[in-house]
Amino acid sequence: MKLQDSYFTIRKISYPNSDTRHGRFKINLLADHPVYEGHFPGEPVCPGVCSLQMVKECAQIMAHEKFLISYIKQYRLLEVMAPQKNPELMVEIHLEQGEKEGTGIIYKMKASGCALGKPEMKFFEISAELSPVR
Amino acid sequence: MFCHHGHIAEAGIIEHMAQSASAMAGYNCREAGKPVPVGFIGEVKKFTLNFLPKIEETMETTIKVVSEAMGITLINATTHVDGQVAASCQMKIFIREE
Repeated sequence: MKLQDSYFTIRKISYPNSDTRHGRFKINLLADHPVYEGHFPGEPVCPGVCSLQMVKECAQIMAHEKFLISYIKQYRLLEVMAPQKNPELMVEIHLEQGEKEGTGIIYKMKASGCALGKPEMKFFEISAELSPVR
Repeated sequence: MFCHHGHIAEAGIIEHMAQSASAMAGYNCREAGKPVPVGFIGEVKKFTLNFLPKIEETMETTIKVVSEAMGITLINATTHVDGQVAASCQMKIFIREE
């Protein structure tokens, strides 16, 4: 399952404080992805799980690792997101490497997504743990 | 679209849980002779992944409704493969009354 370049494209990645653990992704949603044929017919709405996968793919680019989402503390969906109404997003990701007993290295991730240039229009917030796949 | 290297992806398991909950809610409405409303995932909490099921394995998902009030349904979902828990979570679903 890879959504980059079919469901979304990354226009720009920036690291505001020259800190590679804090990334900002300017994202374009692609409204012609086949998922919208079913979700929903005549009313394209971004599936919540696709945002989750999209954030994971962005985090993988930041960390140069492949991840499994091993734990989601909380994933809140705050507004209905639609590829035609909101084609441009800003996704912000904070990653912190840590260790967990028994499972080894994990990354704690905090992420959010909003409409580009409209931080008040926040679509989702994620607090999760990612396990590197080697 | 939810598969990767011979396994279902995490997002696929969560979608499967949400679809199971909505299938149950829709069935219950129809049994009660009520119209089937549209539901959206509002929140996923405490999703714990133990392993990714493989393609061709059968996932069995149990949905327990914890509470239902004012258009918000809280459920617990657990997905088993061969009696082993692959993943579990809590989900909040918003029901849009037509």
